[in-house]
Amino acid sequence: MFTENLAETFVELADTLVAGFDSVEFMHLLADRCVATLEVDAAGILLVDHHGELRVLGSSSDRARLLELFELQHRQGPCMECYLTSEPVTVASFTTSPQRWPEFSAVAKDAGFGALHAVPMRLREQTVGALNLFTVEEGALSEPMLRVAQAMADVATIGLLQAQIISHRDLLAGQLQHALQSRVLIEQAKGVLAERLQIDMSTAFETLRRYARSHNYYLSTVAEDVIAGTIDMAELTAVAEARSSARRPRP
Amino acid sequence: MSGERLAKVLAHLAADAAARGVATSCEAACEACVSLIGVTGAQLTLMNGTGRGESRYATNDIGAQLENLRFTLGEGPCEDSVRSGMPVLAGDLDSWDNDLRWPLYVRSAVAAGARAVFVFPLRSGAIRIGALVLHRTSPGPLTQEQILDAHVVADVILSLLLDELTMAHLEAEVLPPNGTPLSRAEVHQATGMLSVQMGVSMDEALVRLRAHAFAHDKSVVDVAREIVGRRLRLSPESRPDPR
Repeated sequence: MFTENLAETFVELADTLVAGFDSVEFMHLLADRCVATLEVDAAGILLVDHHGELRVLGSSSDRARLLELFELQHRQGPCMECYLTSEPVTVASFTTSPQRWPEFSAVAKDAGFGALHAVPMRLREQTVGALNLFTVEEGALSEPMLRVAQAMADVATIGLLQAQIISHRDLLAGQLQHALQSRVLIEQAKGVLAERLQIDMSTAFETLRRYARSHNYYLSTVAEDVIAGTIDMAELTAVAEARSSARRPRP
Repeated sequence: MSGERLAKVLAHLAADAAARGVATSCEAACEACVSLIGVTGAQLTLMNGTGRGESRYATNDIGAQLENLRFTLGEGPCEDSVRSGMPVLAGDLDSWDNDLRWPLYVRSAVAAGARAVFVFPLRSGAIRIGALVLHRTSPGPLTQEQILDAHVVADVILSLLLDELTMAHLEAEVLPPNGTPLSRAEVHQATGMLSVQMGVSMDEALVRLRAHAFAHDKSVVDVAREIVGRRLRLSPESRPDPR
C-alpha cells in the first residue's frame, strides 16, 4: 500500500514538473500527497520571504486552525528552528513537559494534534523553507518515513526552482543556451579524447560519462577540463580501457 | 536553431547590407540587427590575445561608451557574459539588483544614455571569441522571438569572424563570406581532433579546418568527416597553398 502510494505520488509530481505549473498549485498538490503517502494528518510547505519570515506556500487543508498553526511559527517555533538549523525537528508530544514552544504546543493540542515533524527544504548550501507534518497520534516518524519526507521536501524545492525558471524569460533563454553549448562542448571534447587516446567517438563519449558519473561532476565540466587539458589523463585512460576491454569478446 | 530563422536573419542582413551598398561583414551585421531586433544600437566586443577584449565595432556613440566602461571598470553585463559564456539580459539596467551587481558600470552606463543592455556571447562550445552587446535607451525586456533572433545574429557574426580568420590564414584576398554557422557534430569532433593533431587552440583548429576545406574546394562538413574517419590528418606544418 505504502509503496503503491509512493509510486503514484512521484508519477503525479513528475507529470506536473514536466508539464509546467503554477508553484502554489504544485505546493498544494505536494502537501496533499504528503498526507496520503506519509500517513500524517496535515501537511504544509513554508518558505522564508525576503524579511526572513516563514510564509505558507501550500497546505493539505485550508482549515483555519491549521493555518493558524503554521502562522504561529513565522518567527519562532519548530518550523523556524528547522529552517535555521537545516535539520529535521520533531515535537513527539505536545503534552509532556517541559515544552520548548509552550504557546505553539497549546494551540496545536487544542487543534487536536499529537505531534509535529519539520523537514528542511534545502538547495545546496541554502535552506529556503521547511515541510511541516502534523499527526493526531503522538510519537516520532519512523526512519524510513522521515527519509521519504525529506525526499518530498527536496521535490518541493526542485518544483520551486522549476517554476522560477519557467516564469523567468531570461533564465529560460539562459537554460536553453546552456544546454546547447554544453552539447557542442561535449562533441569537441570527444574529438580531443578520441585523438589523444586513439579511440572511437562512442568510446570517447562513454569515457566522459563514466568519468563524470564516478566523480559526480557535470558532463560539461569534464568536457571543459578535457579541452583545457586539466584533467587526470591517466585515470581517464584507465576508464577508457576498462570500457573497451569490457566490450571485447572473451576468448 | 531552426533553418527558417537563420534564413530570415541572413536575408535581412543581406538586404540591409545591399541597401547600404556594403558587403556582408560583421560590421554590416551589427548595423542590420539594430532594426531586426528593435534596439537602439549594437556593439561588438572581441577577445584579443591579452584576454581583456577590445571593441571591434559600435553602431553608435552609446555602444562605444559601453565598451569603454566595460574595459575600464572590468564589470558589467558584457564582462559577465564573456566570463561565463552565457547571455546576460538586463532589461532594466537601473534596477536595484543590477545596481548591486555592477555598481560602477550601471551609474556610468545610465549616464551615457543606456537603460537596457542585452549581451549574447559569440561562442561555439570551448570557442569563445567575444560578445554582441545590444542596448536600448528605454527599459524593457526583449521578447522570446527577439532573444532567439539575437542568438542567431550572434552565430552569424561568429561565422563571419571565422571566415575573416580563415582568409587571413590562407593569405587570400577573396573568400566569399557566407555567414552560415556550422553546427554539425562532426565539425565539433573534428575540431577537437585537429587541436590535438596540430597542438593548437580550439579556435585555431576550427580556422585550419575551414581553411583546408576552402583550399581543397570541399565542404567543411566533408573535411570534418574525413578527419573523424581518420582518412585525413593535418600536421602542425600543413599550410594549404593559397588559391
